[in-house]
Parts: sequence; structure tokens; C-alpha cells
Amino acid sequence: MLITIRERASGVIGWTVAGVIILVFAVWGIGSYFEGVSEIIVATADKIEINQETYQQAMSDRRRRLVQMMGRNVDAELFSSTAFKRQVVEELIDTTLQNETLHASGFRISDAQLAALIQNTAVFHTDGQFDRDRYELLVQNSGMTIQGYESYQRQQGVVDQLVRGLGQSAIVSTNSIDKAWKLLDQRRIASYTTLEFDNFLDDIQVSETAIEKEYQANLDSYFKPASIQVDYLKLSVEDLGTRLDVDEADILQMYEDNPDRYRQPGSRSASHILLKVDSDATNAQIDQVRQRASEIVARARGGESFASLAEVNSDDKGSVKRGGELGVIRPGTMAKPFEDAVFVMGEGEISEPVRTQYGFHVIRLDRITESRVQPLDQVRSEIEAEVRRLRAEEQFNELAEILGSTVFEQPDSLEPAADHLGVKVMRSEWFTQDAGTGIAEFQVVRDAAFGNEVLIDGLNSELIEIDQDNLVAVRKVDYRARRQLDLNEARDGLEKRLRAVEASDKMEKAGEDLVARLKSGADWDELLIAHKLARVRLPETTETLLEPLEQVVARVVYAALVPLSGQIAYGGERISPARYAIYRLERVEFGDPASASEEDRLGVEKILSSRRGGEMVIGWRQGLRKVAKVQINDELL
Amino acid sequence: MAENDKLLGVHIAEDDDAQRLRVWWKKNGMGIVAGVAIGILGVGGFKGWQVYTENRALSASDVFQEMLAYDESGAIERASNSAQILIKDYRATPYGDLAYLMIAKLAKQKGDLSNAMEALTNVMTKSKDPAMGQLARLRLSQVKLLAGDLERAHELATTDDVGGFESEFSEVLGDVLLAQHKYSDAAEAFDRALQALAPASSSRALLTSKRNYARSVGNNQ
Repeated sequence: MLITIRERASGVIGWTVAGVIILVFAVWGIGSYFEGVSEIIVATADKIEINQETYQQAMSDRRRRLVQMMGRNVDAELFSSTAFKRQVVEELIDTTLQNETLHASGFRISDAQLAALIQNTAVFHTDGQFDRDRYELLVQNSGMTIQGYESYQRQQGVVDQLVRGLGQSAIVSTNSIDKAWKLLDQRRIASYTTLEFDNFLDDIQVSETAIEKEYQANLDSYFKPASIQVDYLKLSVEDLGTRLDVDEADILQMYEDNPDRYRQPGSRSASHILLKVDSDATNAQIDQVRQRASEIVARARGGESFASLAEVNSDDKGSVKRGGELGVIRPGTMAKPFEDAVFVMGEGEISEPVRTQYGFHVIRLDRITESRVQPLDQVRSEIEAEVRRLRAEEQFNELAEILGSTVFEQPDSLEPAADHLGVKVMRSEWFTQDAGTGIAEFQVVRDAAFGNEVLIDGLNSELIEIDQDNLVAVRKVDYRARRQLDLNEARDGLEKRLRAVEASDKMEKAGEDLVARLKSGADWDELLIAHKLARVRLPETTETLLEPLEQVVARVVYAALVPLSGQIAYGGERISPARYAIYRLERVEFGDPASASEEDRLGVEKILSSRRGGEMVIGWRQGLRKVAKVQINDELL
Repeated sequence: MAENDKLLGVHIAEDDDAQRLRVWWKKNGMGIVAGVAIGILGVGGFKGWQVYTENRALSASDVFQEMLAYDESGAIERASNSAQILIKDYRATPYGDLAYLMIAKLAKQKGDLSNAMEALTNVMTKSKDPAMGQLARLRLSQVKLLAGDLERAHELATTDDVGGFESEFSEVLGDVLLAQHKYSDAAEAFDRALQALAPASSSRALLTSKRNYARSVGNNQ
């Protein structure tokens, strides 16, 4: 067959084809045919593929962010839940789709734009200037490469272009700002009262048949949860500390080894008058300010009140209110030239003008507190606690290791480990997986107690870390499985629940009844007084609407229909299972566009233009997603 | 041996070597030269095209950035110039669409609604990106409402092709219906807008107020 090919391949056409093939391989190389063969694809959106590596990266980023946000209370189970994985992959698809679409349609960020973007980021600045070393350090500390960060910034930059492009081109008319202001600044003049569910509880009788019926209908709700009792061993820095002997020699040693710590540092109290100098001021301007500062010095030395001089002249608005007082100044807290001046001045002295990056300061030294060494007796208890803590921590680390291995190597009893540590095995109260007291107040401990090792195999748990300073190991003493409550045991809870439901209904009925009477002409004051109900005026502005209860009532009132002018509207709503609110809406005053300040108008315009601009990007993203063919391989998540 | 020579044509007597090569070249040389030439042209052309479009996109991006900065500082004429450049020279890049949107806004700022409509119509009918088309339609409807052409505004806001802008289209429709004094219909439209609203939107309060207002007036009628 090869021969046939060779014969056919000779001739002009054949070699032309060969020439093209040779060149194509020479340029792109055969390697490109093998790239990506072994990739595992988690999801595809149109022709865009998301591989497992990217997905894993996104998962761990997300995990890290959640842990940062919520601390260690994050439930580890959350991370392995399908819902969480699904959410991460959905977000990844949206973002990838967005980035790829923007790139494909021709959005670009040039090198110059990228450089400007990064150089204008304030966190990379030292003294107001872009600092390359700081930039590289910060990026690397966040676990990214410079290259990765820059390509991420390019993607963000492109999204930002779209956001700004749509935002700035949004069309917002004066007319629509007026209309929005009318609605947003409306005030509703209203009063309200609330019916409390407690008041309806007393005269409710629940019949035996109702209780039985409820019990049969909701068997699942009436059970006693599984509970467990454990023995435990606790190793804690604090306990170790109290058992330690600390003698005088240790304390003395600590005191002498750390002179810095037991010396009260010196400080100065000072006042100042700041004359600001702009960073781009010319020399002539600077001289002018210096001149003014000198005049102030002369007047202050001449006996004029420093406080009133400060009030008239100082650009430091913060200290002006206190007559220029800055309070206590410790070494290392102020600009260098300022501090240098302060620490050589005498009490009551007024300095020559001092130049710092802010401008010129006229300083008066108010008080000197010299540094002094604290006598041992004064700091003895502090030092003793410190020594105790250091020693205990040392011991803790040693013992933790022993405890860990003993608990593991002799899994059938806690006694050997207890002997090693010289502590007693303790016994917990009964607790469930959701709640407990004492040692069981910690979720980690409860989880371990209900884990297979302890609960089913009856072995010692692993070492449980409650926090840095406390370790625990537990083993099961006794266990009570979840069990159905019989009717007698459940009766109390049942009755309470039924009464609550009925009282809540009764409350609503009473409320509706009152509203009906108001609507048909009953007098608000008379009716409420007759029913011993408080009459409360609803605050009219958001600033005065602070109580959560009133905010809920306000939501109901502001959602109510506007009454025809001259008429009063009444209405009511169950605002929580325990409360029914009745309102009397007297009048609605719409906002007056003419009274809106420039700032108010800008605020409204911002809402409107973000709705019509920047927020459109969300819609744009949703639109992409709607038409994209997305496939997620759930089994790979 | 002879059999092999004939078959494979590789083992050739020394004297014949040059001769044979010449004959072979005469027969196939043209083909190879042509092939390599076509290949170079093809590959070079493709790469060249890539470099060209990439550079176009980058310079369009720079002009666009300039336009945004001018607009932000209130330099209407300059912003408008940049936008014209984008439309004239870079219509094929996505910045072209955005430039039209900017022109529409600037025109509205100068009170020139008909120019604004023209720019928006251009994007609505000609954009390659369906989302841009929908967005321009939405804005055109707003401008028609501004200009008092309620019928056309209503027509534009009523469409099935809303892409991801379901909430926005419903809101504009509600605004139009309000202007037409069809309060109950407007309340319904605002309701739909609220339902489709993105959770993080800053417009919930205003939209709710609009809905409540439309409902009140509708009920009192």
C-alpha cells in the first residue's frame, strides 16, 4: 500500500500538499496534538471546558474565604455537601463564560493600562508611591504568582470596562430622579398598636382528643434525641499552670532579663497648631506658611491663648475642638521631626515652627512624664503569671505528645494516659449531638463522641483540639438511642404547642375583628382604650425608626395602599407568630423634589444609574448563561 | 538486490545519483516550492491577521478608556470625539457598541433625543452581541418614554427576547404603563420586575415603592 501512496503522491499536487503539511508541523509542532489529552473535565459551557484542577483551586479558594469570614465555626460538612460543590462549580461556569466571552468578543486591557491599574492600587504603596518589592511580596503572600495575578487583573479590568461602559452611558433623566425622590422620600403619618399572643394564652383549653390527634399526626416530632455520656481527659495550659511551683528565683530572673518590659516608658503631652502645606506647594507658598507659623509662635509666646490661636488657625480639625491638645505622645507614634522637637522641650515651652509632611506645627509642651523602672514588688504578680504561663506551655507541648500516643496505643482505656499526665479521668453529663454542657459545650467534642470510633467501636477518641491551649480525649460510658416519646411524656410539649397555635389564631381573629370595626367607623382612640391597647405613633423618618418591631410595622404601613385624600386607612397583619399589628394610616406625604439637596439627588441618581448601568452586567451574565449549553459532570465533583 | 532497487528506488549507483535527483526535481520541484510558498502565505497570513486584530483591540481599548475618563470629568465634546473614533475605526470591536451607547447618553445630555434614538437603534439592529441588542432596546424604550412616544416605548418594552434583563424590561414596561395611567397593569409589571430582581440589587426599595404606589392608585380608581 505504501508503494501506491508513494506513486500517487509524486507529481506537483502531491508535493504541494506535502509542503503545506511540513510547514504546518514545523510551525505548530506535533506536540499540540497531545496537549490536554489526559485532562479531566468537570464541566463544559458551550465549547469552554473547566478542568478538575481549576475546580479544585476554586473550591479551596472558596473554603479559605469562608473560614476567614466565619472563623473556625464553619461546619466542615458544608464543604463536602453537594449544594456547596454545585454552587462553586456554577459560579466557576458563570465567571469562565464571562471571561471567555469578553475575550473572544475582543475586549482587551493593554500593558500600559494594566501597569496603571496595578500602580494605582493603594495597598502596593509605600509613602504614597508604588513600591515594586511590596507588590511582589504581597502578591506572593496571597499564594499567587505575579503572572497569575496580572492575568487575573487583566480579566477584572475587562469586566470593569464593561461595568463602567454601561454605567456611564446610562440614561437618567431629571424627570425620573424627581419621580424616584417622590417615592423614596415619602412619609406616612400613622399610628399603630400591637396585640400580644401572651394575652390570649390564658383562657385556652386544649382537649384530650386534640392532643391525641396532634400526637398521632406528628409522631416524628415527638422524640427524645440520642444522647451519650463520656469519660474524658483534659489537658489544658491553665490547669498545668496552677499546678506548677514558681519560686522567687524564677521571678527575679525574669525581672532582670527583661528590663524593657518593666520600665514604664516616658511620654509627653502636647498641643499643636497645624498649618497645612499641600504636597505640590511651591517654595514661595511654603515660605508664606512658614512666615505665618512664626507669627503664631510670637503671639503664643507673647501670652495669647494657645487654644484660641488654634481655633482660628489650625488645620487639624480633630485637635482644634480640644484647644489643640493631642494628649499623651509616646515615642514612635508621631512624625519624626515632631517627636524630636517634643522630647527636647521643657514643660510649657512653645516651639519654633516644625516642618513635617503635613505642614508646619507650632507645638506647646503641656506635660512631661519621665520613664521609670517599676519596682519588683509592683510587677511581681504579673511576672509570676507570665512565668507560669511560659512553663505551662512548655509542659503542655511535651504532654500533648505523650497523651496523643498513649490514647491511641491503648485505645481501651483512658487510665494509662491519665496516669502519665497525673490527672483524673472526669465524667461528663449526658448530652446530645446538638447541645451539651461542660466539656460537651464544644461542637468538636460532641462530634467526636458521636463519631464511629467512640460510639460504635467503644474506643478512645483521638486527641480533640478545643483550642490552642486545650486538648481533650473522650470515651463512651453509656449511650441512649433516639426514641419515640409516648403520649404521656409528650403531653406537656404537645399541649404547649397546641395552645400556642390556638392563641396565635385567636390573636389574629381578634385583630381582624378590630380592624373591621375600625373600617366601619369605630373611633380609634375609644376602641383601643376600651381594649387596653397602647396607641403608638410610628416614627416618620428612617433616622428615628430604630426599633426592629417598628421597622416591621413600618414595612406593613408603607406597603399599604395610599388612602384617598381626606380618608383614613386601617389595616392589620400578623407580623410574627406572637404579634398582630393594627395600623391607622392618616396621610401620605410624597417627597418634594424641590426640597431635595444636590447630595440627595446625586444619591438617587446613583441608584438609578447603577440600576440602568453597572447592574446590567448581572443581566448580561445571566443572558450568557441562558443560551449557553452547560453540562456538569456531577460524579466528578 | 535488483528487485529491491526497482522497488524502493533508494539504492542508486553513484554515477546516476545527480542525474536522478535532477530528474526528480524537475518533475516535483515546482510542487514543493509552491507548497512551501502557499504554506508560508497561509500560516503567515493567519498569524499576521491575529496580530493585526489583537493590536486593533488594544488600541480600541485605549481610546475607550480615554472616552470614559473624558465623560467622567464632564468633557462632553472630547468624550464624544473619542466615541466617534471608536465608531468610525473600531466598529468591529465590542467598543463600537459601547461607544454608541455613550453617544446616546451624551446626546440626551445635550437634549438631543433624536440623535440618542438613532445611536441606540444602531446598536439594537446591528450589534453582533445579542445582549447589547437587548440592552439598547431597553434604553431606546426609556428614551421614547422620555420623548413622550408612549406607544413605541410600550412596544419596545414588550418583548420575549429579554435575555438576562427580565427585571429591567419589566420595570421599564411598568414605567411606561404608569405614564399611560394603567396603574394595575403597571403594578403587575413592577411585581414581575421585583421577582426577577438580582438579590444584590440596590433598587429593591425604589422598585417596591413604585409597585406599592401603582397598586394604591390602581385600587383607588
